[in-house]
Amino acid sequence: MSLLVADAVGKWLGGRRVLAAATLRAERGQVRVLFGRNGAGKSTLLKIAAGWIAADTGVVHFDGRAYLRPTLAALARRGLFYLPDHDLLTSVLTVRAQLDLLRRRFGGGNVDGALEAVGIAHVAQARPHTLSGGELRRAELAAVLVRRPACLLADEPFRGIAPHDAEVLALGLRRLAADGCAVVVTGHEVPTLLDAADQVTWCTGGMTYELGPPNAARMHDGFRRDYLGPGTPWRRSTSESTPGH
Amino acid sequence: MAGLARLYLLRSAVTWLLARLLLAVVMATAALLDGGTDAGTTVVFDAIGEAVIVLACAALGMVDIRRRGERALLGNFGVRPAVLVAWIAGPAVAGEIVLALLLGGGA
Repeated sequence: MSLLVADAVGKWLGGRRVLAAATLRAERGQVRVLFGRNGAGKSTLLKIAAGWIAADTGVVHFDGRAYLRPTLAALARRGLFYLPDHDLLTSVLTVRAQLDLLRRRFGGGNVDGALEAVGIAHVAQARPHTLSGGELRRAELAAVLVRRPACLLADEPFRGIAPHDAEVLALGLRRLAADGCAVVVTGHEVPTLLDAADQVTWCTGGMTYELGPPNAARMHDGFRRDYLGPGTPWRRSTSESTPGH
Repeated sequence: MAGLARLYLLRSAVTWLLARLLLAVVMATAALLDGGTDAGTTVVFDAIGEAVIVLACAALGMVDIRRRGERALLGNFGVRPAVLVAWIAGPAVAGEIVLALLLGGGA
């Protein structure tokens, strides 16, 4: 059973229907990747699922409760963590201070352990605005590790970072899932995201399509044609079976 | 959540203090230009004036939180909107009450 379901979500933005009847699920112990072209509505869907913006239609179910008008604060108190597509941490406090606040607020995990796990122990006393993009994403991952959420919704966490940082981030997401967290992540870094994913959802035309595991997604004709592109090198990476679509 | 509350209460107190200082300077300048001499009128307002100052400080606080991109962080901490409003308006309310008690105003 899904921990989070944003069900039959519709949303108009600026006179345009971005989402018609989209559905997003997050299952415990799994990483779900939400793909879609720019403007397809994947960030909007994630924001609605996180209670960041309100849907015009649809309902969000989280941890056994149904919310017609969820707020991030309400969902966060029940175990959700949302990484927006902009920097999360404030520049007023050091990275360590913010992680300490999270630990105290939620009885979270080891701050030093999280900082070391993502390789930024040396900048723990720095303020976020002094960090590089890769260090910022790692610091946000450290915040997630300290928070130990039941569900993580991460909007384009791989944006603008070096391959090594992306690798650390992907490992962190896998580690969270291994600990039972339900992870949903968006982005366009197809090889990295497919490697990290258990399930793939495709957002297009205001709808969502659950494509199954990465191997099945790679073989989905519409997904390949409209999103991956016909000549993509990551079309098939291993000798997987080829389910029909 | 005490650490987070302290941060926003302190920031809001500074905002209120700066707004009050700016207002006092403007009012004193206006009074001087008008030939007035009563310094008390530069810091004491009626209840409506005090309410306007509190609302202005709260609005400034919200704008500052948006500008710094801190809304998601606060949401992830589970801070309810009502609690946030209390954090950013509380120091202004307390300051206006103290000023009114000390100097005699509308509160």
